[in-house]
Amino acid sequence: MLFTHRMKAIRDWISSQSASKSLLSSRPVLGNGTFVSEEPSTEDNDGQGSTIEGLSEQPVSDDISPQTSIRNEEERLSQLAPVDDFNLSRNADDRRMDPLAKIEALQISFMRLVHRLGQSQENLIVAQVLYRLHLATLIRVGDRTSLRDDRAKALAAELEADGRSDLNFSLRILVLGKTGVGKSATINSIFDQLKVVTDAFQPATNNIREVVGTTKGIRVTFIDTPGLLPSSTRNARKNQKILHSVKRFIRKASPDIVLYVERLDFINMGYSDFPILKLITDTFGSAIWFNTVLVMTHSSGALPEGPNGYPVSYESFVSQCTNLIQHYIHQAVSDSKIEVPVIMVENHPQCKQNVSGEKVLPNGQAWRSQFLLVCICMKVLGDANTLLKFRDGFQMGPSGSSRLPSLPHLLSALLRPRSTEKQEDEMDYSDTEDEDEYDQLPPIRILSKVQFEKLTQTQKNDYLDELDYRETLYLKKQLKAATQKKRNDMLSKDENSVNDDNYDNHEVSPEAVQLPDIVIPPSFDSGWPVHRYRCLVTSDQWLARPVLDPQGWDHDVGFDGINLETVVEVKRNLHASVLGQLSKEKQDFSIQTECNAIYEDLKGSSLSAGFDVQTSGRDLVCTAHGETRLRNMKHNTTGCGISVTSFGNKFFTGAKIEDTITVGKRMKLVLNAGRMGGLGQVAYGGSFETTLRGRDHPVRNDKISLTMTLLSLDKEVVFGGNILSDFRIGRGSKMSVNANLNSRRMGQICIKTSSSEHVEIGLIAVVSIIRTLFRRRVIEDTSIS
Amino acid sequence: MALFYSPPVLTPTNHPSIHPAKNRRPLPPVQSLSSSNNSIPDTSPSSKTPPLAKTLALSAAAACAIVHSSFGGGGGGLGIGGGGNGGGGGGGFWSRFFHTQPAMAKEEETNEWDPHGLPANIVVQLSKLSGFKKYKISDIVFFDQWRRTNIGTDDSFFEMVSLRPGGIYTKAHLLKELETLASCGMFEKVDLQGKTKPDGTVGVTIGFTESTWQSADSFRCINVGLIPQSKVIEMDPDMTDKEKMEYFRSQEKDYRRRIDKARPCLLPMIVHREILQMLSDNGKVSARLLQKIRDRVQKWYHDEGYACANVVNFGNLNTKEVVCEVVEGDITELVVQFQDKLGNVCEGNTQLPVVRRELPNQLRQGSIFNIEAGKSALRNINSLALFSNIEVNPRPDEKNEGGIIVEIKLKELEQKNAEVSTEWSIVPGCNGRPTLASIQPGGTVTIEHRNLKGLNRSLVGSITTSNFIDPQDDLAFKFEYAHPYLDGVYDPRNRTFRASCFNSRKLSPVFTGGPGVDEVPPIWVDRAGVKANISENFTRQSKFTYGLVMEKITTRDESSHIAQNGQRQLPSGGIIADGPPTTLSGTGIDHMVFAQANITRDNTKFVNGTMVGQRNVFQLDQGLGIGSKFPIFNRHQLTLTRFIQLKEVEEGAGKPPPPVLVLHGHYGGCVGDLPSYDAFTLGGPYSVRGYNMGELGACRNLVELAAELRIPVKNTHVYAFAEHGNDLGSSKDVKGNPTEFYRRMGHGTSYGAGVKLGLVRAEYAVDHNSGTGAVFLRFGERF
Repeated sequence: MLFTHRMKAIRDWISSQSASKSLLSSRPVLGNGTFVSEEPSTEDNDGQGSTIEGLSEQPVSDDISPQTSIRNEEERLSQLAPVDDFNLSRNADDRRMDPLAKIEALQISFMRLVHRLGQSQENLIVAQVLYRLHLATLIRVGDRTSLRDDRAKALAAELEADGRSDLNFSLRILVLGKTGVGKSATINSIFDQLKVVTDAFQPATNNIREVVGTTKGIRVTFIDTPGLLPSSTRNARKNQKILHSVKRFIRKASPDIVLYVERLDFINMGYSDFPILKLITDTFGSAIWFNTVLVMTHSSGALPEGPNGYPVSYESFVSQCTNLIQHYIHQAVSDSKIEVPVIMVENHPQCKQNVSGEKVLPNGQAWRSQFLLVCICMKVLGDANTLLKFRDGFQMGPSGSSRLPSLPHLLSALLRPRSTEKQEDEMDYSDTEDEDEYDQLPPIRILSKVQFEKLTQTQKNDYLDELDYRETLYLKKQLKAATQKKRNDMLSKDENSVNDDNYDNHEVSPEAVQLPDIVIPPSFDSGWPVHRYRCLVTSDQWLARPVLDPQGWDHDVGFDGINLETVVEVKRNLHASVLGQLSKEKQDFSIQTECNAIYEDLKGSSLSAGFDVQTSGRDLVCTAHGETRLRNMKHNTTGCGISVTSFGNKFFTGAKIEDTITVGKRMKLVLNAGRMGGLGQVAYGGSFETTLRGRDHPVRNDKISLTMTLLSLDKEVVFGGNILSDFRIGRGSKMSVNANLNSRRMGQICIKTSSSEHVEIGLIAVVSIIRTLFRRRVIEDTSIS
Repeated sequence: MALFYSPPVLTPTNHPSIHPAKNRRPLPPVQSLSSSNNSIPDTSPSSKTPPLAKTLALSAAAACAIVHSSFGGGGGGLGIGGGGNGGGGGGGFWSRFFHTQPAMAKEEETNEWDPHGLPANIVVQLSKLSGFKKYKISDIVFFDQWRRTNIGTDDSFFEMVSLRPGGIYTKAHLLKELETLASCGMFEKVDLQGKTKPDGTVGVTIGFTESTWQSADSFRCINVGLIPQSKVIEMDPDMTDKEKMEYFRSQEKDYRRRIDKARPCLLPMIVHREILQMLSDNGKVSARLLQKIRDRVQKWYHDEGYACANVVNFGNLNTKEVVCEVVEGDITELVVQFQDKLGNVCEGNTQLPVVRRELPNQLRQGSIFNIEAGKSALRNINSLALFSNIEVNPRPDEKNEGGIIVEIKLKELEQKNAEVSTEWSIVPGCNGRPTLASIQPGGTVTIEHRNLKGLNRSLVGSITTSNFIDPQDDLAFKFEYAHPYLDGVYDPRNRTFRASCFNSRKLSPVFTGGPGVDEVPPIWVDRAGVKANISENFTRQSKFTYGLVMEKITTRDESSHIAQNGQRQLPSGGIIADGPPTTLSGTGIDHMVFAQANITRDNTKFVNGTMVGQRNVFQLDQGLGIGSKFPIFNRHQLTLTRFIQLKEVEEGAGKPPPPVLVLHGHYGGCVGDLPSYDAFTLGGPYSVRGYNMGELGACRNLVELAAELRIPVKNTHVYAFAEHGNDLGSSKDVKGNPTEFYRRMGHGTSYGAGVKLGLVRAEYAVDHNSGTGAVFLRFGERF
């Protein structure tokens, strides 16, 4: 299981660092010390030394090192592998042997093909293919490698010497590319005869067709396709049509290899065919690039001039062009791990030939056999992949796996109290309020403005203070009445719920009233599209609001996303709430929701469950959490909760306990602790919070709270402290101070003041304005001088 | 009954993260009067009688009691009336209704009831019942002695009885009930019998004979509001017959005068005819028929919104004509008062004309109170955004019989407000000690001063920066001044002057890529400047705005450096700035002064929740040759939208909306100097759906055509649409041709379907150029 999970595909391993990393992780299972210790160096070389250059035999500087390392590896492996009999091990495990035998057959036929092509087995590509086959079987089957290179070699040579033609090997090749790049011409060149009509000046292939032939004893089927049109917005649809017909065509029999044909001499820095690559990816899926070989036609064309005035060298030009296309393929797949082999092709009839009459490239390489060899290698590796089922579970695309949610963050999310609990809390408090003082107040004469002006300063103050005091009491009274009403409603509903339901239905008349126009941020445009947001007030329980992105598009309001809220009373004691924000554009999707259901009884115990969903990049983070609180004593509430978070396919679990003690009417202590773990990491944390409320708390909301928190992750402990205080200064002003500091000496101080009486505090803005204007002036002066 | 209105607010929220529930403002539906004032006075003790109904009823009762007393002894009085003297006779017909209700409250349920202690199934006369026992009434039967049938519980007579099956009553209760029934005028004769049940409860049978009068062939409805009740001279029991005749004749004469003096009713002919039909169908005028007539008349009034209208009396019975006396609810006074936070009446800051001009004529003195007018007053006052609480409260006028005083109670919002929030960060200092990162704070300052001089002028401003003392590029500011009633508060012309000074930083949709070109480095357009305009409101939605704009435009690249040209990404990952110029001057900074105007004619309205009507908008920007490179340009746009209702539907709450076809056309054109940031862009949620903003191009002229068909489903609608946008080949005339440079088509079509959920649209739109579709979620309407 571990293998299938970690080891994605052999082909992936060939070219990517991540796959070699997964090899690393699979090593302990191989259980061999020396292997483990030696691997990293080769792996690193292999990863960065772009083995594909090796495949196309481009002389690249670090080409040698992977070769040597592979040799070393093979030697070591052959030493390590138990030298037991071929047949014996085959019997050892029938289930495993089956693919193994097939691989073996594959290997043998591969060797025979290599032989036929006249390539030596020491050829770099061949060696690499063999090595990979070997490695793949090793990983799949375990340490009992039964496949022995020399043995297979011998077998192959033997069969080939007999001249037996039972080699059942055929290639099915799909050819894609822009029109006029020489797809059909390449097919003709491979078969060395005019199989398909070509035309140098206009598209010659108009529909998809199969071209079957035999070359060097290998049966090759080409699927020739009409050329794609040069990409422009106008052609996108036509190209899509062509590709869709190709897709339909190959549905019956999928090709072993895909050739993507490009003209080498047409590639320049302003490469404009990225949309075609993107379209191919979108149509066939990104997996198509696994089996794709990049074919560069017109390889013998004149080389462009380099910066020094001389033509650049052939090799550097080729590698430059290859890299360019490679880059675009990466962009199309959004994965930079994939490496596409490149074959150079020259179809011109007057192409240079070597002694044996084969067409050669400017660097003297005979390209036809190279072409076939690469094709065969691709197919063999592809087959091996399917046989060993490495492809399963492999995903392409940008790897989001490196992004992990931080455990402390998850933990603090778990520890934080939920919004619905707060409401309950307040209700609870107001209940304990004492008698109606407001009604016992003597009546007061409200002064008119003129009368007020006549008062002395102290009288004015006294008068206003008196009004303020009365207001506090009045609000208290109102709050109490509201609470009482709510309570009565709850009780009465309990009694005759059936009757009341009818009554309620009757009362709620869905009278539609048009809302006043929404206020939208100012703009310099001549029109405000307020009419788009007109609506009626309905008795709808969902409250939808736009989310304003102040940095949206120019000439646009900038509403981006929707904020949804609803609170539903499912039953008498069961409340459910959904709070979410989501946006969906053409490509982007983001969601952030919190669903919560809470059941509470009159005594103050509650049970809640919730489900939060959030997008993080492309991944979805889902959290399910449950919580229960029990009022076990008059002043003590104990609770515990658990949560499970899934991120991609990773899970994090957390648990917490908490205890709330109320001391008197005004003081509350909350103590909680929790842990969050996942992926072998565990974070612990806890907090202690003391809240002291003001005398008029629910009305005036004065309070001071002190919180100490502690978080530990990986033996690293962070202490933190937070002070939050809300209080009134004078009659119409409020102040809120929030300061926090942690043991890493980071923190923040925030002071918020709001006042309806002392508007002068707003003058601080004048400082900024003057400073800005002044600074502008200075800058302009300097720029003038 | 009061109309309460806490202003519902639809505020956009700011971008990040979920907001806690604290921001939520409830959107209470306006309570309607119609639900409270049901036609028949509620006799059930448990029901909540709304205050207005009660007060009205009580005051009317005080007056009618006199009429009633002239009646003498119930049936006997009527008998005399029968002798050719119906005039004053029928008067007290509704006395039952206007009598203060005897408090027939149900006994506490906890109290045990006493079994009758008699053998089962025997009929007991009321007088035979024990005065000490509490009887439980298990059922009540009405028995029409004239027709010899029981009547069903749905009959209007049942409303007259306050007894309820299952209730527990003493003999005194029952006697009193019988008395009220007898005195109500509905019955000539009424008695009450008990029938013992085996389970100890008692069944009650009310036997009655309906009152009837001679048949009538004409009907007249008069408004008796504001007319003082005719004085009734107490009838002396020692009067001689002649005196009696004299008396009745004078009564009749009085009544005639009264009818003549009364104003005609609002009741339309159609209801009139309906009632005549009822009269001719029934022959004799019976109590039940009168009840039906009353119901019909009151129903019409309440349906039309005349919530205070009530049938108070039927006069002229036993003649050929039935006279229905209605108090329609004339407004005798309109009072606007301010309340302080404690609900005390106080002097307000707001000048009264500001409030008065928002009131509809129907709410002025002399007209008849209509709930719809009340609601519209509520809405209009609310749209001033000056009050935290608004009540429109019709109250019976004690001095004027049947008059209504409309009280408007207003609680003012705080006039001034200032908010400063500052922030300092703490970072590890030189010795590892925590120190302030900077002594200069950052944060936000907001100042508001609303309702200046009580004329709803307002000044609002805010500044946000990360450093107050030395603000950098991140300074964001916004100051707005609004001055309504430019022509004076008494002038019906409604012109408002607005001046604002602000800045914004937004992404330019001109510099975005076409399909497949993902990575176009963004260009930010910073605008800062002053805008001053005057807007004249013709109706709530139609307006004409004209003004002047001075702005400075700075274009910046991703890293906030001033960008002179559009950029593109090289395959190597590098960025090259060889794109179209971003500004007119070419330096990346433009200054510009131009005039602008906007005429909107909008007569859309909501029919059962969906928009119907048409909207035309013409927008104009005219460059004045002031600014960088002396720009002279003319940019104009015409938008025509039609919402065509495809089917007539009945309007009303809860009814399904009609299917609607929306046709939309938008033309835009530019002449003269055109900087790229002001070019029209094609594609986007309000242009051609299914494309990203600017995905189709940036151009000088454009045409957009759209059609949308909305089909109602349940409370909402689903819709299908097709849209096309075209640059008319004008992309190449934009400097540097950004459309071509970023490989865009210049035109595009899209089609799709969607569903509307409240203000949220969820739609699937297919981009026709590439043939791919995507799901979108949007807020608000497309049109």
